[in-house]
Amino acid sequence: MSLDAGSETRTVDFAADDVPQWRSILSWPAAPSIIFLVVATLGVGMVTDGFLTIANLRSILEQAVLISIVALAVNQVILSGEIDVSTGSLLAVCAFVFGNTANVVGGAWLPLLAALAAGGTVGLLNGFLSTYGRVPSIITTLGMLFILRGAVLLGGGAQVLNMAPESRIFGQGMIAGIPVTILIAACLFLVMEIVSRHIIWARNAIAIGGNESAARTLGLPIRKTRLIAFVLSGLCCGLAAAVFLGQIGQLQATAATGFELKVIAAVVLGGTSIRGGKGSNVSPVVGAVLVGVILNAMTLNRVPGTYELLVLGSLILGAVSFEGVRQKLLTRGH
Amino acid sequence: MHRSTAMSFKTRRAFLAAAVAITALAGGAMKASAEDVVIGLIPKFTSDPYFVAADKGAQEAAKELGYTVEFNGPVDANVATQSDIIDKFVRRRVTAIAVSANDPTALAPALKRARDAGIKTLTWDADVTPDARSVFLNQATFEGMGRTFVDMMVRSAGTSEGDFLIVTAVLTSPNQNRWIEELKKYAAEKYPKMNFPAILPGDEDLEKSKNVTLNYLQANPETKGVIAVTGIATPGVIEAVKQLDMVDKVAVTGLGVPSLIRTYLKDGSLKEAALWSPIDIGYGAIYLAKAEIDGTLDPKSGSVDAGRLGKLKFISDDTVLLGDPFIFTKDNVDQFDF
Amino acid sequence: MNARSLSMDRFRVNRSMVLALIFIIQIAVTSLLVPGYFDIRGLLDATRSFSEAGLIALGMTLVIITGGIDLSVGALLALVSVTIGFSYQAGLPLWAASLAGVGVGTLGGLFNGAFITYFRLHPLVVTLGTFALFRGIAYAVSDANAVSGFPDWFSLFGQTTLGWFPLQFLFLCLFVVIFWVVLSRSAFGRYVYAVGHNEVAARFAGISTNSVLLAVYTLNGFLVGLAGLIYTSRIASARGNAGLGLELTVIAMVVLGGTKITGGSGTIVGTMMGILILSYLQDGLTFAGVRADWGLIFIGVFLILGVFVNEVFRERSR
Repeated sequence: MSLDAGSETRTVDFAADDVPQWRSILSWPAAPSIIFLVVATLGVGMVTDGFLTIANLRSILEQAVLISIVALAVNQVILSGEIDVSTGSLLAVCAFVFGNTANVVGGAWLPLLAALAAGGTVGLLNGFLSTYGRVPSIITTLGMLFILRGAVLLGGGAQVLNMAPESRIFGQGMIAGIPVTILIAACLFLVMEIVSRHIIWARNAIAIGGNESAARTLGLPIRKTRLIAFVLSGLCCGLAAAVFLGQIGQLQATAATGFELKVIAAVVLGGTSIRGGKGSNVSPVVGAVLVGVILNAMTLNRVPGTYELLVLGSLILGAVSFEGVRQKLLTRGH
Repeated sequence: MHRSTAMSFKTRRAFLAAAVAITALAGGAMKASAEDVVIGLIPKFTSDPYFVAADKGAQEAAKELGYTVEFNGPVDANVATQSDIIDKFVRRRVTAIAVSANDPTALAPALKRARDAGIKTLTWDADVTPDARSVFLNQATFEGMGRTFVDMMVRSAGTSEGDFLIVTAVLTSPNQNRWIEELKKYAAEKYPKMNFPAILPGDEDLEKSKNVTLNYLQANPETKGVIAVTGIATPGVIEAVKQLDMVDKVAVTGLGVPSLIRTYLKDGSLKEAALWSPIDIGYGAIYLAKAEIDGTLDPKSGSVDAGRLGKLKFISDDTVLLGDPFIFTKDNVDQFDF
Repeated sequence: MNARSLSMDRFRVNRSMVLALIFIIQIAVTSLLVPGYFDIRGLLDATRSFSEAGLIALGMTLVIITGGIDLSVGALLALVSVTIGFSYQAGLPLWAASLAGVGVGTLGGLFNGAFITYFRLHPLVVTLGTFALFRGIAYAVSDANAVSGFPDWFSLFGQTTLGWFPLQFLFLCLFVVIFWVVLSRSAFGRYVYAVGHNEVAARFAGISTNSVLLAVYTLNGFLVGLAGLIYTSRIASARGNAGLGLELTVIAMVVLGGTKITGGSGTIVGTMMGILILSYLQDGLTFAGVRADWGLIFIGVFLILGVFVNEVFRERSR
């Protein structure tokens, strides 16, 4: 089920020659979010002590890394016209796989492989049900969110997983002065960028999300494309699990509850249209940092954690409404 | 109800008859509930090493006494689910219900319904309003815990002057709030220069506890120590301190579940942490239930017989104390496997 | 009604009969396997836990028939509950606080509907946002506290029985009848189906689709308001984490009842069957001592399975 709310055709994201400069910049999906991010960072920095320190900024980035790894993949899912809300529970499942593998064989690379395999498999299942199974992805991933969480609670609820330092390399330490976690996210971003520019699958995804009927007429492999997006989402959950365990060092069965909402918030805040067909890889990263900045600002200002959900919800609604308004503005002159 | 175009009247009648027959058969085939003693043990939530250990202790007591203990609870700190589970136990006609409550007043109606049905009710670990249960097994006095927290912190930090952060569960946790109240009272008397400028909620989440500590310590680097008043928060707090490389400057102590803190006690980032034995509290709860069932529960006698725990004392008319808090250090933590 | 809709009727009736049979078998099997389960009082008692979800499922049926979805119902329930509790605590007489709660529920539904119709956004996206927003407001207002200490009469809604029947179950039955009449016998019901079948065609047919959608979501919110009142009365406590995961249960009930997630078809009878099957499944499991964690898995599986099977049926009936 595509999130396309109607049968309106959508203009593809080329800037025509006679479109004014401000409009072509404005049509870059991530533009408003980047501006917002800069403004927000400076604004918070002015009113909050301790915000604009290197240590704090670095800690924001480290917290944003986890979200951005998964958001980069969910971004692709949304671009292709679907959605994935199972990422929180899937992260927990992959973390358990990682942790238990590490307990048995030690090290970090084999557990990572195991986590990736687990994530990829569930992603495949999600994708299969949502495409060939014709179950709308919101239903599949919502159901999975609960099924996976139940499985983690049952299988690992009483377990306490402590990570040995050698298994935590993905979440700690530095290489050449840059934290490993940030390097991992940066690498993933580069990979996604290369994929988006050169791999046909990525182009298809945007086309399918933009206008499904046109894509079908063109003969694009709709179901296969979306399936791959879901697998990617699962793989990234596996990677994120390795980072997560590295950062935290221990695992609870209730870990990463609510994570999926932060991921979706990051994607839409970054400028990707929730309808699909519009967005870039910069969007989820910018969005993740933005979410990190806002949450950090709240903590520093002693805003109780109870407001976190309120803020996330308002941001999501604001972002999608803004997107709706922007659509109207951009298509008016054509 | 519908236009009967789908089935003829005869078919529908046959169908209905079959349905009634099946149901009657099923009803007739069921046997009456067993005469054995069944106790419903309800934790705050099930997927937690602490509560799983409590269940272990309870099963141990059950085996000794020949009872059956059924362990069921919500997956998160949800009081509506607890209420539902109590109602289900009532329908099962269990002998007694022992619950660790997520909310002191919200469970009272369900527990009262249980009492009306003749089921004994008691609480352990977290209490409800006194009119809904006969006795509460308290793991430690609130003053005792408050005192222990403060004394441990002063020992670990090497000083009693300065600012100390408190990281708690959710801001409404009754136990935590009482402990915080008591520790502040004790500190005000004994160590007047000890300040507690902030109480941050870790929401029983490891990552959150770590992040709030991280952000706070970065903004307030002169903090002398952090007291984590809930077991789940302690490892998160320590991780934050370690990440900021402040292990020597910021002391951490608080509630400690051995399996969660073992590595930190060993590597020195944590010197002391306290807990009571959750196995013992589960064990004790069943023995308390036995006393209630047998009718031997008498506050005037001053104590209750609790199997291998000996005699547990009444610290008030309706509260029994499990014992003193136990302080874990790197030397003794290996003796415990929960 | 032409011949095509008649055959759809036959299909609908057949499915409801199948569901009823499944329900009876389910109760029978559970009673056989678990001693003590088959007790009329007990089974009726069980209705106390699911009457709230059942009420909301009625509204959700309409929402899903129009091709939409509402993920925010659990969060809205929490907001309603918190409104009742905290306005009471702030000094409002309890009857007024209760009305305020139901009003908040209705407004929440209106909010959803307005965003969907005015901004032309997909219901999924809007209710995902309000899912967080409503609960966020509930947490913020309650500051993670809970209000209890309601006067005894307040337990009327959630804790009393009329003879053997819990009051809220009778309430649910009443609404089932009302909604059945509205959906299958009124013009509004027909508009709802029309919008779900093909929104553009409905608009061309002269139906004000925006008004229909707005009404459907507002009605859903109103039901959440009622459910929130019953819930608060039943638990005798108002707190922000009420209704976590409720939306999943409600949607599962609706799809199990045969309502297509893509919209255009569905019945109240089907939803009622879905309510009974899912609720008594959970009831039986808990009664048998199965851990609540399994419940999460079951609901998720039934949700996906329910939709999957509906899709299979769709192919068949073509």
